[in-house]
Formats: sequence, C-alpha cells, structure tokens
Amino acid sequence: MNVLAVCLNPALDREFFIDQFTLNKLNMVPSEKSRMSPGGKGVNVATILSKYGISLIVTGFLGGYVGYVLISELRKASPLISTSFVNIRDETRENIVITDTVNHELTEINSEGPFVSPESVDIFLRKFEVLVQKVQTVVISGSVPKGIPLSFYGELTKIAKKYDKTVFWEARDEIISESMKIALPDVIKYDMRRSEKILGKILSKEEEYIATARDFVKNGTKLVILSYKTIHDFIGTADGVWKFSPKVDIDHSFLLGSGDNFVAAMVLAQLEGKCCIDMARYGYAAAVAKTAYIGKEPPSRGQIREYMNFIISERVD
Amino acid sequence: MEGVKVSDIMTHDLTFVFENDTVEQVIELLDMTRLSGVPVVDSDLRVVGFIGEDDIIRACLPSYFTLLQTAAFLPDTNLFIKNLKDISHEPIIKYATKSVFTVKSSDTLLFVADTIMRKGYKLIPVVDDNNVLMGVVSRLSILKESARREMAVTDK
Repeated sequence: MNVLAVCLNPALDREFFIDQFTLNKLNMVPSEKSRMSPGGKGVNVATILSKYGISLIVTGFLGGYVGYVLISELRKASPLISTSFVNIRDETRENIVITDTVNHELTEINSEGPFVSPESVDIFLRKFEVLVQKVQTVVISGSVPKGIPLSFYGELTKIAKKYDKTVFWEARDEIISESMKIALPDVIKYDMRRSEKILGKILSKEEEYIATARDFVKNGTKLVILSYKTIHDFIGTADGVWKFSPKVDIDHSFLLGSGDNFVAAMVLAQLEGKCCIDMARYGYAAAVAKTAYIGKEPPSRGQIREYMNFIISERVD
Repeated sequence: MEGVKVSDIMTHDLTFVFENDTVEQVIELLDMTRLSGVPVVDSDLRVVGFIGEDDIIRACLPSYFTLLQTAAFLPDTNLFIKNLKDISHEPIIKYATKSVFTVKSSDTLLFVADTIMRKGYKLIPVVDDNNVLMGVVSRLSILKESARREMAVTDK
C-alpha cells in the first residue's frame, strides 16, 4: 500500500445537473442527469489516486444506511482501494450539488454529519497507528464530524511522524490552526470554500498572502498552498514564494473537485519523487485541467502534462 | 471457475478487531457491519484469530452443551444472558478461533470454494506472505462470480 487516506467525515455525494435551476419551483431531473457516488474530500482524493494506479487504504468514520451505500459504492470504484472504516451508530452525511451550466452556477447543500463518540475515537486512533505503518504517505483531508476535536489532524500527524511518514493536509483554517499546535504536516493546502480566513485573519493584499506563506515555511511546513481569489494560489516553500495563475479561462461552475485533484496530483508527484514547487505545479496543473469539464473523473496524466503549459508560476518572494 | 483467483473476487476490506478488544465491542461491531465474523489481528495487522457469532454464542453456553448438541438441557435463558454479561468485558482473543484458515490472493477460487463447502466457513481472511490482512473472501462473492461465469458460457 502506498497511501493512507483519512476521511473523517465521508459523504454520499448526490449530483444533479439542472439547467436554469430555480428556487421556489419544481426542478425536474432526468435520471441520466443525476449521479450518486462516494465522497468527502479524503474519499475523493483516494478515488482519484486509485485511477492513477496507486494502491491505498481509506479510513474514517462510517455509519448507518448511507454509510453502507457509500462503502458498497467505494468498493466498486477500484480494487486498489482497501477500506478500513470505524463503524459508528449515527448516519453518514449526504452532500447535494446542483450544477447549472446555463447560468454557470453551483449550489451545494452539505449536511454537517454524524456525532462520533469518544469510544469510536479511541478505536480509530488504535487502528490508525497500525494502518499508518503499512504506507508511505498519509493524506488527511476534509471536515471533522461532531465529537472530534479540531486538533485531530495534529494528533494523527504526531502518530504518523513517529513512523517517519509524509503527511498532507487539506482543511479549513480552524482545523489547521488548532492541529498545528500539536504537530506539523509536510504539506498544507487551505480549503477556503467556507471561510477566507488564514490563521484567524482575513487576508486581502497579495503582500499579506506572501508574508503568511513565508511564515508557514519558517514554522516548519515544507509546502503551503493558499488559495487566492478562487483560481490563483500562493505557494510557499523553503526556496521562496510563488503565485500560480491559469492561462485559460476558468468556468466557475466546473470548479467542483478541483481542490481534491490538486491534492491527489501532489501526492502522485511526491510518490514519483517530485518535491516542493514541482509537486505544487503538478497539482495546480491537475486542478486547472479538471476545470475544463464537468464530472468527477480526474484528468489523465497526459492531460496534466498538457496543462503544465497552461499555468503561470511567477516567483514573488 | 478454473483460472479464477482469490484476487478476482476478494473484498478489499480491512474490518478487524484487536486481540484485546472486548466481547461487547465485537458484538457492537458485528451488529453495525452486518458481518457474521471478523479477523482478529495483532499490532502488525497479522491475522492471529477469527471471531464469529458462533464463537461468542458457544462461549455463553455451558461446556456440556457441545457434547449434548441441544438447548433442551439448558436450565433457562437467564443462564445464557448471565454468561454473556460475565464475559462482555473479556478480551476477544480468549474466545476466537486461533488456528485460522486463511488464503492468499493468488490461490484459486476452486480451492476456496472446496474449503468453504467442506468446513462451512462464511468468511475467509485473505493474507499476504507475512500473514498480514489484505481483505476477505465471502461465500456470496464466490456465488456472484460463479453466476457471472456461467452466464458468460451460456452467452457463447
């Protein structure tokens, strides 16, 4: 096994493609315009990695009927995915996405998810310590369900670092800020879909992003990715700070899943021996390539190579 | 079914319990996962046992029950309930089958089907050369694969 993907709060994704989606009206969806698939950021990253031929274990908390459907679908996705979830009594959440390609709008309804008991957390930690020793790289991505402390990414990273594993995080600010107090990963990618905050502050100027990226690296993170105005990123490494921008127009209704593709492609690059800025460039190219079409299918390695020509990486510090 | 390997039909699921997990925790897990049994592993994920519903039930019955093979000699169900309560905090390894039948992903489906028929197993752990758990193969997965294969022949 190459990777342990941690998805603490997995979800069953329901996608509806409704052109001219209207509130306060009955919106009919033909069956071919709706999809159901396993989701949650960690699960998405795992599914993408399996498409690139990477074998991995997915872990997290799963419960109820929705959890049963999710794991059944995940097993169908690829024989390269091994599942090892901790079962809980509460029901796993569902995420609903409505894509309107006529008005170029994306509406998301994400349920908060289940409550995880302290007993289940204890089972998970014991399981995690055994599983982590079987892989090279750990990816922890997405939200934390109720009952799990915001510092949990840090607790898991502390265990992973005991066995000298490379650790990736993608999460929102509250999780990153609290978890950093316990342990630092090698790579941090900010998920800024719900909040623009970075370390408790809203940044506006480019200089503020550059200074913050520099601070992350100074504190021990090898690579930090801070999303800027949705389609740009500031990248901090020990060698400096870069600003990434696309050379192509990005359709905002096609942005769904681009962050997961970014993370998965970085993990792929790391497993293939790339480091730091090259890893980030590969991830960003994959994310931009993903915005060229609708759907969950990740771009091929060939498409990512092609999109390396459609990104600008400008050194800013 | 010749040529079909365990790797073609196995479920890549690592649902397991540790040796020191309690009987109560295992019952809870079996209930939530709808599984009839799970592999017991050590801290290196090596399979050291298998615990099924049957093993737990057997542990709650008086030892003479195995010889008599009938519940007619049980004084009442309270004895069963009392025994279950008594062992609920015991480590599961105490009641697990230690000599576990395991298969490798390269083993043939025919070999697994034959063992399932002869021994009555419902779920068999799949391990690597170091006895590390890789997944499981179930009776149902064998049936599903067999049904699929038969249909392929019929189609010709």
